[in-house]
Amino acid sequence: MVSEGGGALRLTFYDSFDWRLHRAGLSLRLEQPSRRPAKLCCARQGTGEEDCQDVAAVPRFADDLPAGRLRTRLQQVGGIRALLPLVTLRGWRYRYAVRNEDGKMVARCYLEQWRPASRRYAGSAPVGLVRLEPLRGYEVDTAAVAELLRGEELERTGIDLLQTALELVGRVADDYSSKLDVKLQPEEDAVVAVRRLLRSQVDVMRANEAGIRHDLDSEFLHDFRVAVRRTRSALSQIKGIFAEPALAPFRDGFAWLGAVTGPKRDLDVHLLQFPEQQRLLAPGQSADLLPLRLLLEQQQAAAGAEVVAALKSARYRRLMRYWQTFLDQGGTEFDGANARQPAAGVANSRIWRVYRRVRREGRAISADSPPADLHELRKSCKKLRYLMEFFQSLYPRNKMRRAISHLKDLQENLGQYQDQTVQLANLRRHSEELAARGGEIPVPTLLAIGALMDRIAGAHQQTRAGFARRFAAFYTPANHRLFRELFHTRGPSMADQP
Amino acid sequence: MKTIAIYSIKGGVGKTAAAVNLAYLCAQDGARTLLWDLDPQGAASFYYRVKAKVKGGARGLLQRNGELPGRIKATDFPNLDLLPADLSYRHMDLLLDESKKRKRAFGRLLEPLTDDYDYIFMDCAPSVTLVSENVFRAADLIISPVIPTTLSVRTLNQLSAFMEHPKLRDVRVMSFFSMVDGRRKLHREIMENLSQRRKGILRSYIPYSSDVERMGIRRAPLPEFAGRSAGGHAFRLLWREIKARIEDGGDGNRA
Ligand SMILES: Nc1ncnc2c1ncn2[C@@H]1O[C@H](COP(=O)(O)OP(=O)(O)O)[C@@H](O)[C@H]1O
Ligand SMILES: [Mg+2]
Repeated sequence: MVSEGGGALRLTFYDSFDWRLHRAGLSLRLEQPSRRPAKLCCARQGTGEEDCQDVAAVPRFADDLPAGRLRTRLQQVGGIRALLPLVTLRGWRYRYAVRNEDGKMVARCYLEQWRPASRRYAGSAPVGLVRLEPLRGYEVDTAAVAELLRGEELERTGIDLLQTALELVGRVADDYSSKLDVKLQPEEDAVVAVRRLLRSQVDVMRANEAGIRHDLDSEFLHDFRVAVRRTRSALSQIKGIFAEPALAPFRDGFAWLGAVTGPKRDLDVHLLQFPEQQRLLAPGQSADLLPLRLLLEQQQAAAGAEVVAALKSARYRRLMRYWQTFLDQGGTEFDGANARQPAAGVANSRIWRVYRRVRREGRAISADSPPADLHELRKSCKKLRYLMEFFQSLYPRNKMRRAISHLKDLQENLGQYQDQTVQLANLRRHSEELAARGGEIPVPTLLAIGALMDRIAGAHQQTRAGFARRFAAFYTPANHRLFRELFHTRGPSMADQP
Repeated sequence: MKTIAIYSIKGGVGKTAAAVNLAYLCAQDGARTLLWDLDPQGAASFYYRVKAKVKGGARGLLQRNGELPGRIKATDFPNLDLLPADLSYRHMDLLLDESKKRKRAFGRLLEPLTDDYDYIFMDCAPSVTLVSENVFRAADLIISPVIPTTLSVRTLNQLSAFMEHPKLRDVRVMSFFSMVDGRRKLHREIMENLSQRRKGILRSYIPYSSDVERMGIRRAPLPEFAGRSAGGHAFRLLWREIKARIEDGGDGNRA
């Protein structure tokens, strides 16, 4: 082993709130040596492969890094999510090269000692590590060295540094996901299952509150709204589980929450799509959209303030507190007629009913049906999707995944159609707002918006034309058999079979 | 990804010295670089202290397409990997002849690496064979070292004749003078004369220098252990010129 130097260092690890880097097998850290410039390194976990770049500070979004491999890699994984500091360590590190009989380096060995930088952990003992990083093609040699080190009873070998850092501050990687992941039992009481499902959505909302309040990135609000929509959908779809009168205030409350957060989300979406929309225009014209961008940003800030105010309001606090209490209690007081049916039976009958609605509504749509019909179908599809996701743990995984993917393809078309409808309506409204400001707004801007609307309108028509094919792919005998097998013939207890 | 072959019909002209040092300098610039040692003698592998051995040998390499990534070794230097030589590369010609894509096998082998590397250097054994044809087909650029002797004109002519093949017209060719003895009048004259008469001859050249020979003792690229030596300096200038020409694009620099 030959020393390659080292010294005192601060390390800060970063990831998005939903651990996108970690999930992609990456780990991002800022290294701040005491006397040299800081560098940002993105490592492929467990390989020693990494991209590094000198930086003055870590920007909130990968987009704002200097162009290069590091930026490209981070953008690919989670460009729209903010890079948030996970944990900062201070300590020292020395690096050694481990060489074989030819003098070829086969691994890097790090001797290091870390403690959390925050005062909160002032009392905790530092962790000393001996860490080995294999060089590509020399994994076998590295394993042999690791074996040797283990023989010496050194504290740890082959350890992922991020893992250690998280342990030091008592965090667990991958502790947040907006995905529904609640394990249900087919025979358990429907009301118990539904309470658990809804409770998981409360957790999602809670987890995203801080990110929304500090406006870290757009996806906190997005996940929050999905949880609200899922909750609302459950409240309206899963009938007979709770006593109706008890639900009314919650229905109102979550409807309000959906409405009060809507404008901000619309503006977030529009601004996220803005670069793409600019690309739809000729390079010369895309700069003319700038006044529109400024308008959107102003409105976004105002709408954001309203969201924050709503989350701080007594109404929100009360709603969440009562809702949590309602879900956490175990009594039969608020039971509806089907509360004590087995969960599987309720799931079957609800999903089957909405599935048949989707088929019916889709079948009725022809080339000259009004947009409203597609909008209705889209809402039904969404309800079906939520129901299937809610209860997915009750069904065979592969078949369920297949059924959901058919539905997803259809939803994609409907979703795109709706997006474009909204984009057109927004652009129309915004150009009116801009025009109302009179002479301040340059004519080229209005022209650019007009040109953009033309482009989107063209795409909109194409999406509409693609519907028939998408629906036909969903409306097949094979898919129908799959849905029937999953949701119609299972189990004897059909709570409210149509 | 740019693929650069260091090639000459003749042996002992400084191909391996160039491949080893240029690949090193390229990686030092921050580009992800792979050096493929195609010479069964394995000199480039030796300089990087990597054993000249490849799992499954030449046959294994050619048979199981796409498994090339698993045979790559990291060098001791950042951004620089090496695909080692193997004694069985002596039979590469025969194996290529048997394979389906006789002339495009290398190109296909390198395809899966497109996103992994910015530059691939190939250090070739001296020959005109199916192996060289494969190299030419896979390469974007061929760099050919030339020792300034009265015969060097012939060597350059042979190469240009070869590159006239319609399938090879997109491959750029550059040459540089190697092992130049600045004290010899003849060397200076030949260099001046040739540079005026031909395109594609680089202005930078590599002097004859005992530092280059020391690479065999140090087993490391020259700029690593003697960055300030005349040889180290010459290779840096050479790489800078090559890179500038690559980035310039264009053609019309045929040898
Ligand atoms: N510029 C140079 N000055 C002195 N010796 C050199 C120089 N370039 C190469 N050599 C020596 O010449 C021999 C052949 O060089 P090498 O690069 O292996 O050529 P090739 O790969 O073309 O056969 C080696 O012993 C090498 O050390
Ligand atoms: Mg050689």
